[in-house]
Amino acid sequence: MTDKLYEFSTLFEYKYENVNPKGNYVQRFQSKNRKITSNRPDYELPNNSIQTSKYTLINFIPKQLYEQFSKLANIYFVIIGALQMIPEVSISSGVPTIYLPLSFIILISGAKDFYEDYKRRKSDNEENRQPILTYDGYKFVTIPSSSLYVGQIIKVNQDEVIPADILILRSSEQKGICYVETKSLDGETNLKQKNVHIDLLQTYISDDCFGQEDKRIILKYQAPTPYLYQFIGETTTSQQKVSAMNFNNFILRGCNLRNVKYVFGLVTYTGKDTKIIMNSTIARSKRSKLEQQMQKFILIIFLTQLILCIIASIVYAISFYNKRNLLSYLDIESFDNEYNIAYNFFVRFGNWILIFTNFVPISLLVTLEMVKFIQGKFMTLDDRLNQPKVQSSNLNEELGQVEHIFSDKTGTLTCNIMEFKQIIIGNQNYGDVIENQEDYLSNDEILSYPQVTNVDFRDKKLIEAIQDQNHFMHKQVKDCLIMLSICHTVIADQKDNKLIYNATSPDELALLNFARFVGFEFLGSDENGIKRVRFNNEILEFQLLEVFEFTSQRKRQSILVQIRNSKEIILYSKGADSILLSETKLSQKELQSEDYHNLENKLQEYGKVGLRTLVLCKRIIDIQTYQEWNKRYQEAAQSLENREERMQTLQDELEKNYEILGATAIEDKLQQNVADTISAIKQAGIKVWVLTGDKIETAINIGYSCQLLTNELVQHVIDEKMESLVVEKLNETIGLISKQPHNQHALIISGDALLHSLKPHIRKNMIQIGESCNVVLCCRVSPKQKQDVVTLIRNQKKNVCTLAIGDGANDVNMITAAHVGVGIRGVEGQQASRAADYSVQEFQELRRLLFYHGRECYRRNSTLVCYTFYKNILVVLPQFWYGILSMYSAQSLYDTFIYQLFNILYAALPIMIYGVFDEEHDADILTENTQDNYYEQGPQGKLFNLKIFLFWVFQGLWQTSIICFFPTFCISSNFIDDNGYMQHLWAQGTMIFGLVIVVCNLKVLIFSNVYTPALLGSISFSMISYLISWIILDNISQAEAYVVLESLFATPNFHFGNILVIVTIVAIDSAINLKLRKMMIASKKKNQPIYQQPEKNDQVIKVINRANTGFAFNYLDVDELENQEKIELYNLENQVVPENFNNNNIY
Amino acid sequence: MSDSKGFLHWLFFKKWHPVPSVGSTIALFSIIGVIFVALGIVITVINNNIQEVTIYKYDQKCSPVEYNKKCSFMYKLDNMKAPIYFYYELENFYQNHRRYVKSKSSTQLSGEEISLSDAEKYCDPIIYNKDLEVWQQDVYVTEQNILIPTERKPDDIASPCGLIAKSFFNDTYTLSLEEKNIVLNQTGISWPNDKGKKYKRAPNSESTQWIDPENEHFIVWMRTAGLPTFRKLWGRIEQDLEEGEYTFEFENNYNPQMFAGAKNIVLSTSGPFGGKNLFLSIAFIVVGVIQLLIALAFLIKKIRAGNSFGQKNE
Repeated sequence: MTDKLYEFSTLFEYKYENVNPKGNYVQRFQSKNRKITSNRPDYELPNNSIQTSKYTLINFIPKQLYEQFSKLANIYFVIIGALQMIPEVSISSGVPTIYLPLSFIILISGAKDFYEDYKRRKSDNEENRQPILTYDGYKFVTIPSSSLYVGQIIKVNQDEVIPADILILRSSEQKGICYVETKSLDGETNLKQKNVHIDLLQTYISDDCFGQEDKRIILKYQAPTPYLYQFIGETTTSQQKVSAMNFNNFILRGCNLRNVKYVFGLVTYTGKDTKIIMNSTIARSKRSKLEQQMQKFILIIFLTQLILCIIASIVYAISFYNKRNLLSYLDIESFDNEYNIAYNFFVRFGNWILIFTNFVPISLLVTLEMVKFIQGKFMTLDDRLNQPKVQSSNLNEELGQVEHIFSDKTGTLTCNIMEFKQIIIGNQNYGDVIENQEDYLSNDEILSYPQVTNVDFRDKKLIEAIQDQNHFMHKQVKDCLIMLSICHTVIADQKDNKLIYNATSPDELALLNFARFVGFEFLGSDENGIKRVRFNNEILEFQLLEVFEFTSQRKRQSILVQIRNSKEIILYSKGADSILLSETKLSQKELQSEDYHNLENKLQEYGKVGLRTLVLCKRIIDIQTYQEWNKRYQEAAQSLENREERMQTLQDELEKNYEILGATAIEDKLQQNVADTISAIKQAGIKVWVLTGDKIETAINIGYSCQLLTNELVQHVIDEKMESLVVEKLNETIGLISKQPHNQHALIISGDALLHSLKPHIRKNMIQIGESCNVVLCCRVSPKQKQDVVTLIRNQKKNVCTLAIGDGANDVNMITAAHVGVGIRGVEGQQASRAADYSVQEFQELRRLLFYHGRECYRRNSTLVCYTFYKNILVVLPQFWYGILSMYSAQSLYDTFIYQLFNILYAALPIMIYGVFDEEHDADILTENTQDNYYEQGPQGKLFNLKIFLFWVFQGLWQTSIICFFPTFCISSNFIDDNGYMQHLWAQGTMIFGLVIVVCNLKVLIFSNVYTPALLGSISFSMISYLISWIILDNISQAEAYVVLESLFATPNFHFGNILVIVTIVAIDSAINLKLRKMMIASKKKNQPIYQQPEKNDQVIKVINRANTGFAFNYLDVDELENQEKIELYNLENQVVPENFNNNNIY
Repeated sequence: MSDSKGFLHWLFFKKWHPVPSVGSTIALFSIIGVIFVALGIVITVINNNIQEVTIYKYDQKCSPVEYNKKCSFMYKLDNMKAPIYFYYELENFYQNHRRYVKSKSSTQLSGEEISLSDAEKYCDPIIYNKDLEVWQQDVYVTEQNILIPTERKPDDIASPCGLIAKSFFNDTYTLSLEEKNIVLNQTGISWPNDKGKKYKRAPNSESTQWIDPENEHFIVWMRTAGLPTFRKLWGRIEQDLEEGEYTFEFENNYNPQMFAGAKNIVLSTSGPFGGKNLFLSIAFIVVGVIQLLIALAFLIKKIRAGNSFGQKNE
């Protein structure tokens, strides 16, 4: 006894060494395998708090400043401001006027950052303060989630979220089983089963034994890794019993506990080390394509500015050098600095740079951001959409350029609701009725039936057959429904006197509810495995003998029962037609009978519309056969070698010679208008890829129901597991595709195969196939793979703009990886919509979001950016032209004060109103996108490219030369009224500036598609505000423009000049505009038809796909976990292995 | 509330679609074109009725050319109708040079005293009395352009300071026909409001300033010209001039060779829109023709494209 105690103490008395003393976070905490003792928290390891916010109150200002001044534009303006303070160079008397707008910009974007970070901080706090029950050595106490440490034992109740990665020690279920919902991790809504390891189950026998000395365990396990489906560890109990723990004993943070009252768990990873956090990618800040291009144009403009400034200063320096002795009135002595040609060059260069400051439009970024923000607000207010949320309005125009959509399936295309639709029994087809038909069960009538979910069945014919004992179908129907009500693995539960079904598969739930609806109520099974079904107040009892689970290879599920009354042994099976129909005991003649054909035809019909079908069979087995078989089966079950295989063979032995009972059709309910939306998106030339965690059959099924797949498409299925096979298959597919260039192709690829195809040396083939396929379905892909696929396309085709849409946490990676991420706010929580740039309620809203909002935002923002360049050229260049007349001495024409207001007051509002309210076509016409492909301009980048940009620059060039020289010759060359007064430099400058304002405001009218009172008002406002500031200036005797107003207005030539300049520019400009537009129309007419319906080409080889019958079934896949682990391990080979993994010897 | 909402809705969502038809576009361009050509012709006619006489390089008409001396020459003029404006014109003088334009103090010119630092900031390089021209250093030029000798300290701030003031054009002219003096009215030659407001005498002007800022020739000079060849009003002849040989007498003070330029005298009568402006008449005609050509281009296109083109206008 003492010996034992001694061992105890030596066993548990060790020092925690889970942390490396040195290094960064990863090296310290994530690189060492861990060894912990239960109930002895390791306080050296980080606690369970998470932080997604970037700033704290203290570091906000320095960090923010650093970020602001790492922007090139801001640095540029700081330098300009510095130049403005050098007296020799300054054109604003040494006042750094540029700092005013600059600080304004910095303040605004700082405030925005602060607000966003505040929101993040708030949600962090919420999560960190979540109350958690932990064992403090004596009892369970509530502590906030953030102060949880590795080694503590926690209790989680039903439906609560698991706060950290835990090893389960005990569950409220006898057998140590519990169910978790992992939708926030992988998006799957079916429950996953987890269990307490058998050794632990024996250790922790009661709920209050955790404090006992001899219940302590030591857990050795691997250092934190991001692999979602991997956990390797071993426990040592105080009895020195060592047992290996795996992923089945391990629950991840973020899962919800279901169907058990509570579990106890040992905290293994906390906070940043949990799998879910390690899997969350840091959201990059996204920039739209337009903005990236804009950056290039800014660079071009900046270079142009430099070149023009250099030219101007060189011209000045040379002409000064030539005339230096002839400029006595400038009083430059030979000893002055200004006498020096180099000095002259540099000072003039500085002057010119300052004059050109606005050439690089400081207002552009602010205007664009504000306009996009308001555009975003209007999107959220669009009452044709269901309150979409706009999280990054800076991507508005990106919505108009999408070329590639990656969509999740569950919850995105589908509602994730299974509805029972039809059933075939014998040669009868039930459920195929429409409203107002005689056999239609009306809404009132339906109230007298059991209220069940997941069933949409209105056929009275079946009810009659069930109720009427003499009906010719009665026996067959009853047989079939009994089969439905017992062939499943659903657990029935009584809750508040209500029968609740807990199903791991939504399909089974639908089937069972249907049976209940028509009168066959499954009551549950007792501990002896007796299943009871109530029918017409009669209780039928079945002794459960065996269950053969669904697997992806078997594609069927069977249940072996013995009827309690008749002792008859029956095998019921449901599954894929492809398997079950080939195992029937039908004779050759029967196979050709009408009944059988009817069944086959029906199944194909269902498949075409995307219904999920299951074939129902039974086989009566005589008792001797069973007993003999059972003996072998039990042996096999206990064997240590090839157990699975042997059992499988034995199962196969029974699962044949079936008698067909019928077939069911379940609808995986699509969201509203998904099919229309998808076909419209495809029509617009956008490629659609569906990435789903589902199985191949399910994916194909949905492909049909949402019209992604049609029978015209040649399907290529790649679901090989081995790399070499995948390569082979890829090559084969390429060959097939190139042989049929006139056909349309669809690729269906499984996650495993995808994994190989994404390897660097195989990628090329994959991309080639992806290019030539109109539709790509990727099945069984993990969140990480979804991201990889998106990244692959992004990297491969640099100019393509991708959009990812999804609803679950498993889509977050993909959403953040794509150019634009759209989240669907559905049942699966908010993670996706929080990570997304835009979030909507339903998939169909994508259509309006892209075709109307995106398209129009792209068009307006393109014009806005070009116009902003243009208007700044318009205000800057006249001064450059004027240099010709002033020796390029960098004399500015404008009053400094008024010049600063140009972008704030005189030319700001109209373009913003244009940016928000202009509309080329009616919103509904654009959303329809059927009159013309209005959308294509975006993906093709037609409205914003170098050509268009240069055209605007060219417009600015010729217009400024007119604006500069016409007024000069109108008013400066001679006297202009009958007092003989001459005008002067400042009058000329004022006139030029006024014309700049008028022309650039009228320009908005030229390119606007609609005039609103607001647009016209803002244009008037801009011009009037200029007039007002002029009047103010006119009365300041210190100002150069003092009394200029009266003198100009009294001058006929001023008015003539104005008319001349405005009419010349506006007329020519609008003529060009009209011409362009009209030429566009004309050229379109030539190339008709614009909108090609997919032609029926003679060369198209009629495709005969393998008969698609739409088998699909969601099930708890026993192989699944193993498979997943394999997938992740494949991943290890492929990826850059994180540093910490190298030091890691897996047990 | 609903009213204001209605107003906002009207403001932002009441939409007009500017869709000119091809026909109206052609009509509009033609009308504007015709009006412009007509205007151009009218201005040309007006220009032709204005008499403008330029006496080039008048300083060269005396021999020998000596500066700061009186000199006279004869010049034959045609009949001219009053009012006749008398200008001096300088060529190749960049009054719009950056260094030049900014070199003055508006504060000082409006009659206030300025600090040394302001003078340095605004008037560089002409800050002190000693920086001025020699003739400006111990003289006071009155409003009537009469020079009174005064004494000022060379190290005091020059008033007015700066390059523009220093380069003040100080030739003076008299005009006579057969010994009969013709009056050159030199008042009211500056913009109204400039005198006495923007340009104002400082207290003790005579002892602190070298020129009276209310001297109108000075005010005219200070309003810098926008072109390197410019005219400035010097006086007004308020009587008709008969044909004859006129004697121009002038004080040849200003040396155009300093800037390799020339000084001319311009006499001009005035039309309804002021002096001759060839640019305007040519520009109106050219722009008018361009408009007509655009209209023609549209017309040709319309005819070529047939009816289908005219129907759908965006």
